[in-house]
Amino acid sequence: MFINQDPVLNQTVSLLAQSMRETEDELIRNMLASTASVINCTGGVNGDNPTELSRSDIDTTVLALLGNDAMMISDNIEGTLKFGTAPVREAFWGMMNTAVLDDLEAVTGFISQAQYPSNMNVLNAEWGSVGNVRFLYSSRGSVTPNASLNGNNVYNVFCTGQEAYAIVELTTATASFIYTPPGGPTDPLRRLQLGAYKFAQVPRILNDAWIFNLRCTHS
Amino acid sequence: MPFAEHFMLSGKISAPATLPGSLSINCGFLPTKVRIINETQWGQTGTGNLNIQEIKWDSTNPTQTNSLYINAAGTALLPSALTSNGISLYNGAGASPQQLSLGPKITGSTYAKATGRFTVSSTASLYAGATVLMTGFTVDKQLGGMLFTVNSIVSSTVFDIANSGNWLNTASFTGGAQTFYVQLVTVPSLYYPQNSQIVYISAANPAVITTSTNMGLTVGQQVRLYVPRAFGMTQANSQTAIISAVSGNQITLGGSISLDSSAFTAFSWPAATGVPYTPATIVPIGSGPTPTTFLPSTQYYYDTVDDAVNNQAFQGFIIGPSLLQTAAAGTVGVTASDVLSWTAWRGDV
Repeated sequence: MFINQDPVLNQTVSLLAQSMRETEDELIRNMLASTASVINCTGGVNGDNPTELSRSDIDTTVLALLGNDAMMISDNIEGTLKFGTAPVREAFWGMMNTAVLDDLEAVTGFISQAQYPSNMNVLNAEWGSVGNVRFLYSSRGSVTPNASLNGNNVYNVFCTGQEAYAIVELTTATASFIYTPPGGPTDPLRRLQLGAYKFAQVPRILNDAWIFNLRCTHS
Repeated sequence: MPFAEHFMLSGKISAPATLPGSLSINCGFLPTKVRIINETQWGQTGTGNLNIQEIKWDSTNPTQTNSLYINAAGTALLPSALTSNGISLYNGAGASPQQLSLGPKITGSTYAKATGRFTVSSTASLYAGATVLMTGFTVDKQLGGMLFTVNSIVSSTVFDIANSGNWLNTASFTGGAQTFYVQLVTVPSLYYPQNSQIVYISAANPAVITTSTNMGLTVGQQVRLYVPRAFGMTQANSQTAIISAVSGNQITLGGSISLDSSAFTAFSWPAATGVPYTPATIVPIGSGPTPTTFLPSTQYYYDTVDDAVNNQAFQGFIIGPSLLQTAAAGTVGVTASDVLSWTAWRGDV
């Protein structure tokens, strides 16, 4: 079968696919920012409320999750005989904005993902781990503007265990890509074509005790 | 060049029964032109009040809303131009990844803890029911970074928050002269129901929770309380209960799962020296067990996904409180429950 590909349309479809998945993530992020229980970072020294990330705040969050019987998501990574590596504990996952990655690196006990004994199960967006939390980053990570004591941006780090939240997909509205070629009813001159996507989803926290929004500011 | 977009949408809506207020119109697009006719007041003359007859807004001059009102004697139509709290666009998508969109900073200079009245440089952009972010307190640092619902606009420089008498007027707060900043939340968190900060829990059966903002929850919804040690009433921490009554920013937890806090340690705020701290919060967790009525014995139905969060984002426009205020002899406005017919256009090329 001969297929005459349209390079412009192909590029547009690629962008649309990225847009669709990012939109899905952003909707979930916004739901978590609206609803998840909060813990303020208080162990930092920047004089704000919340403070910047600290080891005690991450430990507090881990203890709160464990106290609520939340289950960790990833298994431990055993130590190996490689210079500069360190074993990584069984872990919850934390999702954060790129703006506070430098503060994360400064936290006592931080292990960069490059120092993991094995990169078999490392995600592309993973920055590293502290204690029993492995951190994922995104420039789209949740930010509450000006919301600290001193009016600085507050970064929402969602620390989650297994089954804490879910997405309910609607059978009749699963994600679909739409293409309308030139020459539709309102396009007798065959000038316009349309590429689009649509989907519907309901993100929902299933157990609020298994996810916490660890709020922090930048140092 | 973007695709051409041409939309037009129209509808009818009633002015709020309680004025001043605001109305949000969901168009599904961001209009470039809005026209509103006050159907109730159209042609009414000699009411003694300056009733708005027609409102016009155009994106070429987005900060100004023009209206025509009839004079008190009913003898002439006169023009009026507003530069705040008139028609404004509402883009619920916000500015990713920011959770909220905020208006400009308004500087505050003092507040009275007995009445919850805050004095700022201007209340022109604020209105009753608005959510504001308050930051930068130089004395009562506990309040920095909190969201509050405005209870009423007392004057051009003073507004108050609800139910402050039972929590703000304590030894934990100093009140009086201090610098702080207020910002109007123009686009709130997108999802309903939301968590909120607890400012007071009564020692009573059932417990009554006062929150800093009006959460908009309803009877029957289930909530969980998070009360850190700094707030004293540790017995309430992690408790869940079902709402039996809602009044503004107060929630009574006397549903089929209730909370009796009468023997709990008193709820108390940390002092300013206790900053930084984790706030006490209330988190909606669903509808709770619902008794079924079609079975002979009492059975309970429970589905975690019930009352799932609802994305409230939309695109359209807001009719602000400077338009939706009570018309009087010296005030241009509308009358409560006036019927307003609106038309919104979008015309990009």
